Amino acid sequence: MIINKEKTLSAFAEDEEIFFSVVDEFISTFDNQKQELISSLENKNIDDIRIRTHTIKGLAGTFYFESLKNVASVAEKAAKEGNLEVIEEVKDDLLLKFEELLTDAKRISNERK
Amino acid sequence: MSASKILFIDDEKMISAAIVKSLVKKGYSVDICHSSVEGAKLADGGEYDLILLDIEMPELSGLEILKRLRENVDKSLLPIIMLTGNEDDKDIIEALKLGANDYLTKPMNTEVLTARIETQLSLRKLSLENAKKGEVDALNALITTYNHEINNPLTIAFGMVEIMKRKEEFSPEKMDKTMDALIRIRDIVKKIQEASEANELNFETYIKDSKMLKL
Repeated sequence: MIINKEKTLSAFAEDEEIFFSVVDEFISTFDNQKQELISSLENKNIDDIRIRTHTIKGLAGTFYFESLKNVASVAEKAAKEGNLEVIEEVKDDLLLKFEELLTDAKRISNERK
Repeated sequence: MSASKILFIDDEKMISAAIVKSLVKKGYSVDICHSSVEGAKLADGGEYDLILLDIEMPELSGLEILKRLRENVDKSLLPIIMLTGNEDDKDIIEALKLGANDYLTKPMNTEVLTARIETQLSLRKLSLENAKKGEVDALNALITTYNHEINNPLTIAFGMVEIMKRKEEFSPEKMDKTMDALIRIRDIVKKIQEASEANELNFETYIKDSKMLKL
């Protein structure tokens, strides 16, 4: 399990409508978000990397996916410090875990149907 | 009673949309702004009862917006709750020093958020009621002061002039009494004006529950 549905639902006061709106919105915007992250990493655009990793950290936190939150946090901190070396070290893990989040979001969305 | 109006300033779109939905369901009127610069302008407009303000935003940070707002609006009149995704306490401490009313760390629980919003709105309502009561008390005290300090010498002055008119005779003694009464009125009016300009209105008990200005 990647997304902690119980905890996330609790954070939204057990409101399934709101919970699934977040899941569905994430799924529909994932490709765009992933592409923006990849572009910022390829261009080594520090400001963009900081913004993208900050957003992913927030998403991961919302879904209680701690390992993605941690790696995004490391990347965000490195971007704030201008440390491209650390970003290079963690970027694969970041992208992999981001994909895992999508896979689990789709699973949860499908289970509802 | 109209819904409380909240301004939510956060560059993140997905989760903030969910939070707005949640707050609207609870009966609040919420405007969301994803641009920190636009958000700062909206916040300055004075239309909102409370502001939810993300700390970390591009262009203008939440702390900068907070600092600018607090230059013009007291925290009792415009509560601001800061939102942060960082675990570092430094930003939170800085926000509280700059005049934030409260803070929440993300991911946030919407029930907790609602409870905090309600607390701040209740405190704001109390502040507004106290301010209004203070204004009414000050006005009542001013009326009592005018009645006591000004009416009495005014009556004396009128009385003296009436007597001289009726008797058709000029009396230096009565003129002096008239002049004294008018000088007393002038001095009282001046003291009230000075106290008002200096924002230093003090009160003393006139009789029982009635207060007048202490000049």
